[in-house]
Amino acid sequence: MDLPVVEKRLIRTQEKLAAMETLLEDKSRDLFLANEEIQKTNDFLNNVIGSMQSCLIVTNAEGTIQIINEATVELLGYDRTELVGQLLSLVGTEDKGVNLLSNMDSLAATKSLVRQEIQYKAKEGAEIPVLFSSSAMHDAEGRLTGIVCVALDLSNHKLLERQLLLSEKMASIGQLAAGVAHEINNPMGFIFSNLSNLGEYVDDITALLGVYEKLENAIRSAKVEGLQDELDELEDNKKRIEIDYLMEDIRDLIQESCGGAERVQNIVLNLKEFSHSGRDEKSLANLNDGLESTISIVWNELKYKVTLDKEYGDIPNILCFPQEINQVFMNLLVNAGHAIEDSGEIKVRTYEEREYVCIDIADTGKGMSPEIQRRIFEPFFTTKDVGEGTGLGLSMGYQIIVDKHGGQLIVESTEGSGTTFTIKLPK
Amino acid sequence: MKGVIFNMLEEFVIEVSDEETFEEIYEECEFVSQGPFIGPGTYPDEDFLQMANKAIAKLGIAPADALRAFGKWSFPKLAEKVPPSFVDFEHPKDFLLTVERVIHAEVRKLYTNANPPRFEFEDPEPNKLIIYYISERQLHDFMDGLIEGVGEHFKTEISTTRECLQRDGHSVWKYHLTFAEGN
Repeated sequence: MDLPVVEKRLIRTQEKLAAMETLLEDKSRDLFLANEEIQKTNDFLNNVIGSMQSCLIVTNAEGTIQIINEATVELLGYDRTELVGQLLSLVGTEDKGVNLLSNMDSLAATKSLVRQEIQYKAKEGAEIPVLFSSSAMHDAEGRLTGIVCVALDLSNHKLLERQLLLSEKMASIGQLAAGVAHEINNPMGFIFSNLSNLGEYVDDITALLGVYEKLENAIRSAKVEGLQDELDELEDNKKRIEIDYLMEDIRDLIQESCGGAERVQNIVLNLKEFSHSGRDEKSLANLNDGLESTISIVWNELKYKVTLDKEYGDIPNILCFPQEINQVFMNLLVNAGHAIEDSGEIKVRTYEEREYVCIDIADTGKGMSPEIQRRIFEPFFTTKDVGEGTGLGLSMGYQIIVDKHGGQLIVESTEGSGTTFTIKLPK
Repeated sequence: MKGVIFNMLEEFVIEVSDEETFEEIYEECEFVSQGPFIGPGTYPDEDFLQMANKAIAKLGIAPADALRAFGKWSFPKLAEKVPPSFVDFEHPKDFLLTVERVIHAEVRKLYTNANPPRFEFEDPEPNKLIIYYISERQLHDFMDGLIEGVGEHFKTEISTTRECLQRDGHSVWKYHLTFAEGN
């Protein structure tokens, strides 16, 4: 006999409940596994984003920052929580009054393959050049949901570009100097030689004039008839040209000219030393010579306010890039000169210290604050007025001494009393 | 076919007749699947067709009319079961255009063995819509009823004509929908 309808339905409802329970358990397990998968995917994506060298910023459609990666945090100096939730324009700078990062339409329209150079603004206000690209995210209906911004820090690239430019410039100047030195050297050779000969000729002429004078005196004493007019004319001419002074001065002039020519020859020699060839490989060089030739190049700039104290130690020749070391000497000497406002002293000293050859360049100038000392080796950092310094001299010096030669470049400075730079180069 | 449709058919039959009639229909069926039909489950299409055909025979209604009536009755029930945002549209056309991309996509995502029909659309004019109904089940009468239910739900009269096309040896139903102006 059939069970009553209600009972049948009740039994089926209980069966349904049991089936639902089983299904719920299955679904719960599926959900757990799915969550695990999501977590794995999430971790993987976070790893990818976190290990990106490029800076990633993802915004919503209104330009509010939703996601940033570690590279962005490091580059801009913000804490993650300070950026997420802020408008993207916060990290942009104005170019001709326009902040590209505040214009969502333009960012959304930019194709991801179009990259442009813009400046990011760091927390401390520094402008950082980046290669920027953006791409728009849309939902299934084509509505803008956000912008993905990827930026590559160009600071190092720019620095290398500037350094390359500067070193090319220095190389050109070196080449030019070497060329000029060579051209001057030849005529200076015969000028110097001619002046020496001229001195000897003057000696001969002076001796001859002495004989003539004796003859003149003899004629006067003999009172030879008919020669009085010629003797008077001779006397007038001697007085007119001040023959005694002239003969004395002509020697001085030749001597001075010889001295001048010698100096020109020295300058030419120093120029040749400064623009020493063989830039691509190290050569054995004596740093005392390099320092001396560099001093003579920059001396003209220093001589009016600086007294120079040189203390060259007996140092061995070292394997180095002499032209580049000379360039560092020049930067340090010029900086020392700039640090001295009215008058002061620069002391250069060379000595050996264990496995190093050391060079101190010390000035009695205005010195530097600890804040400035901390930053002097940063590229583009300068305390000089715009246009007066590139801010690359010391950073390049650091590169040359530390990176290229495995040496040390140490600064000690006291505000108001002076600065000492110590270069230590391995023997 | 999803269990929810089986359960809605049960509810429909009980509403138009009574529990006893439904129990008779249920007992007469020789289902392929074991156990009761529960909403989230997926069951063979032939089980549903068997139950529907038995109900049609028992109730003495023309099959096309029965399936249309069931479709019309089902739509508001289905609309209640999905998240509100799925049906939150001003106009039925906007809703219909999302069915394939949202509702069917979600069903496929949640139930890997589900096999919902496939809809393709053409949008020739603002007040017109062409829907291609592609399904092995050929429940075009049920589809007619669902479209009527959509019109009622969105309070917009929808006049429908359909034609049967052949595509790769299968019947595809092409629906021409015209929406009454003013909504």
